[in-house]
Amino acid sequence: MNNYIEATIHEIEFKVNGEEISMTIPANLTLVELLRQELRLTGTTEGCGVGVCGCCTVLIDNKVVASCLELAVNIDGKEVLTIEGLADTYQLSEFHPLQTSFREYEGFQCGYCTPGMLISSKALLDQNPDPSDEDIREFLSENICRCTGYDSIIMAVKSAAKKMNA
Amino acid sequence: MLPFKLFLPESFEEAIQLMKEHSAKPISGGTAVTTLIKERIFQPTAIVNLRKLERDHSYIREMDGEIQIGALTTLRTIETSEIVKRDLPVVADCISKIASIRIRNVATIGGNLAHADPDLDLPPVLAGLDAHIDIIGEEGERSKNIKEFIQGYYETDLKEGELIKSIRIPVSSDRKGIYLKHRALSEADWPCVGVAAFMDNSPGSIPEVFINSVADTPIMRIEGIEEIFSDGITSELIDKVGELASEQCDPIGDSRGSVWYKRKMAGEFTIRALREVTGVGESLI
Ligand SMILES: Cc1cc2nc3c(=O)[nH]c(=O)nc-3n(C[C@H](O)[C@H](O)[C@H](O)COP(=O)(O)OP(=O)(O)OC[C@H]3O[C@@H](n4cnc5c(N)ncnc54)[C@H](O)[C@@H]3O)c2cc1C
Ligand code: FES
Ligand code: FES
Repeated sequence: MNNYIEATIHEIEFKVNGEEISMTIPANLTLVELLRQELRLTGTTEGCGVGVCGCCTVLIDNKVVASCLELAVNIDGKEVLTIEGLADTYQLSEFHPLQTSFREYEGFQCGYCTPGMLISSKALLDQNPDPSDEDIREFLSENICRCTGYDSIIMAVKSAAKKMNA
Repeated sequence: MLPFKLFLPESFEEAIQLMKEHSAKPISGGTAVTTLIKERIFQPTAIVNLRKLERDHSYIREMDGEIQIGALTTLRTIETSEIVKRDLPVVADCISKIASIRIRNVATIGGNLAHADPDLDLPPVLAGLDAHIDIIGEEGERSKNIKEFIQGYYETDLKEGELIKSIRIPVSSDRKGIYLKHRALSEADWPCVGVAAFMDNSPGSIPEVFINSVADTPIMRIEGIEEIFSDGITSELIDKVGELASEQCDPIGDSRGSVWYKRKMAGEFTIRALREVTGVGESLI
């Protein structure tokens, strides 16, 4: 129906994982496409593509957002954090405590949901450094995992919180 | 997504002009529109993105006896606002049950109400509170009660080129209400059925019930409650109103329940909500 339409082109300036970037993009590019295809930051995955599964979760100005539904033009002037930048947010370590805990507790199997789980868990710990099982369940109920059965994820988040509060 | 032209105005006036010039639809958070574009249900040639209006139109203001919320305010900002939690706790509670935090961080109140999906959680609550929608267009501004604003299946009173500018919700310590959301699938899912019950504190006052997801609008008002409660409120009479709710609704069967089940749940949750708001009978929640 609208195949003859050309997308408008937009100039945007933003930060991804601390790095300043300016580029031109077409209007119909989503944020997850920008990250994966343009910036080759393939850690962020796309599952459902319609906001339901949580795989594509990234932080924009410290808030969790579904990058599959966000138009890339909307990050103009904003700061994005993806899984590739997670470790650097914590005392310049090689891995964030959430990453080491997910490994210790086997908080993943296939790993497809894991970047979204980790970014969402970071957002949870930023606002609630000592969450109960119930808090974790509630916050992560919005991230779907088809492998683990969730228990190991909850244990991993608890253990990471403990490490970070020590 | 198929390509489209995108415009980024900085004011409502500019947005209205651009919508007219390019026969364009507006988007705010884009959570509803992007999904429709991806599914190719909606194939726009041009879109006016209101995101830059956030600077001036994301606010929660205490006015004379009401709270005014700018159209670009996100659902998450409203739900976590101290003013809303204090003066309109039923609104904060209802919003906290919509979708997920990552959607509520982006979805706006203007986009939510203009979407007019019959399954929306918030409209029955705003109906119970008698909220008003402030609309801006080329000809100026006007205001509409939420009950008249949402007119049918994805239909609103908005005319070509008009936008929601803000909403106003009366604050009254004399009115109490509750919203019960029944989910048949996951915690972050749309309602199978949602029931809002409201009542004034004054003696002899009669409760009102609004239900979503069981009709072609998200605001189905149960009719005939006044007659049933004309001589007072008992839990037997509340059960009768539950039957009335089941009879009056007209749901569509889907993955969240069959027609039979949704009717049953509309009745059951009406009873639960009425017991809470009237204080009659044992609490069922
Ligand atoms: C995964 C997912 C789960 C969801 N679950 C629920 C749920 O459980 N309960 C629920 O109630 N809702 C749910 N929703 C719907 C959600 O509430 C809406 O998508 C959201 O509120 C729309 O707001 P928006 O700002 O993103 O709107 P947009 O997508 O930007 O716009 C929606 C509509 O409003 C119009 N519009 C936008 N802004 C304005 C304006 N200022 N004036 C006039 N028209 C305007 C657009 O043209 C469009 O028609 C869910 C959505 C998703 C993606
Ligand atoms: S891919 Fe974005 S929420 Fe599923
Ligand atoms: S580890 Fe496979 S989906 Fe979660």
